[in-house]
Amino acid sequence: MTIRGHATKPFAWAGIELTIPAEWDTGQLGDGYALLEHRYRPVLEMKTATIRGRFNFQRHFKALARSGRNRSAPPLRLASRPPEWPAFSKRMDVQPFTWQGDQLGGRGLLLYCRDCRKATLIQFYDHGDHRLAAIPDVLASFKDHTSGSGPTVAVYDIQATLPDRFTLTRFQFDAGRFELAFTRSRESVTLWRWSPADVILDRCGNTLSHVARKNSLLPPAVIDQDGRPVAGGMEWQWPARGYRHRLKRFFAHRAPPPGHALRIWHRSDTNRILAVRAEAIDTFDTFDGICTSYGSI
Amino acid sequence: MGLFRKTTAPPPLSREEALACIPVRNQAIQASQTPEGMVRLRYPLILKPWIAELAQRFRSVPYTPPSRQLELDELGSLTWGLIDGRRTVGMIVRQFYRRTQVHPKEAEAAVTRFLRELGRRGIIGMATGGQGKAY
Repeated sequence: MTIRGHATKPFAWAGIELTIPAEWDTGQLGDGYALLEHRYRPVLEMKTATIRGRFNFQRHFKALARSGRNRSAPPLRLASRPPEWPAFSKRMDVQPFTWQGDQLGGRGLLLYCRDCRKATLIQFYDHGDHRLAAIPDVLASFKDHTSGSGPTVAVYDIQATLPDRFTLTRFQFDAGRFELAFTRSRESVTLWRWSPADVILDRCGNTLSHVARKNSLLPPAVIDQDGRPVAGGMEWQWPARGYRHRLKRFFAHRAPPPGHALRIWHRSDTNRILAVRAEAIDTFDTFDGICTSYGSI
Repeated sequence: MGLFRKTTAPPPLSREEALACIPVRNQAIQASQTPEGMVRLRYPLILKPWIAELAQRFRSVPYTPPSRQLELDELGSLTWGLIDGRRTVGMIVRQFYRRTQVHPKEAEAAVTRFLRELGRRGIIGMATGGQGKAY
């Protein structure tokens, strides 16, 4: 897929999906916040929040625009939608805006979806060059509730698709180590990514089991067990031992008992180590699906 | 009165300016290679001036500042090798992520943290105001 002849890649964070030029990189991520960069300069900023209660356009626009801006930031001016920008669904309220500082300007829009009750503010930084040419196509790719087709998370160089209603509860992006935790009711899924894999494997005796043990991915009950080899890696499965899971197993004879699983594998083509741990997951098919979808962009 | 005039701190460098800085090795650093191929640095310890003065007064032989050793890992040794007094921080970051295949953002975070740590110990200095490109 291309945007005006340029390669693209997916970006998905906080329930928002976009298709962005391949040369744009993730700059900063926060709770409902993302900043994308191109050659060390900010190019796209996004804030999103689910609105509780009644949506008031002026009030929520002010609140979203104000958060994170310093007091001397230039004022936002409401504007009409440029003709080259896409028209959004009738279920969405849209308000474009612009701002102009001494050295930098920007334009963007606030979107409110009446179906998912999510308000999203997207702004593009104007550096006076070609970067703004991608705006119409980036906006045309905007999705703010699950379509079932795109990834749940696609940031930096990783992407993964999780089943519906899994929500991101914790994330940490350190140089060399990423960790993202998702939960759905009592189920939890954690994704890890380490890089560069050759250096990490060298420090851990060139075995993925050592990487898993060194990073405390395995509980004491199975830490000494050898994992089952899978394509490019290792996998461990063990039953859930809590009283709640035992009761569930007792009363639901035919349903498979919930279990825990860990899979860790090495992607030599991208020099990455990836791992997925699922806890209290109902079916291992779900776990397998998550592992299959998890990879590099 | 000029005596009590408040000195104003220079404005912080922008990110692009910081990435255009050129790291320069301290000439007093002795770098050697370990049998495993890693870099070992021996650097003089930076003491507070009054401690150095005190040490000087209570010694009969000329005072030489104590030194410390720092052994770099694979990635540290790689970055140290890229510091040649010509490459900017941005160029080092780019070389680093090309060689290690890490994400550019990770490379930037890792390299800048490493350079900051070396600078804090006085192992490198930063040349600013050059015409170096950030990327």
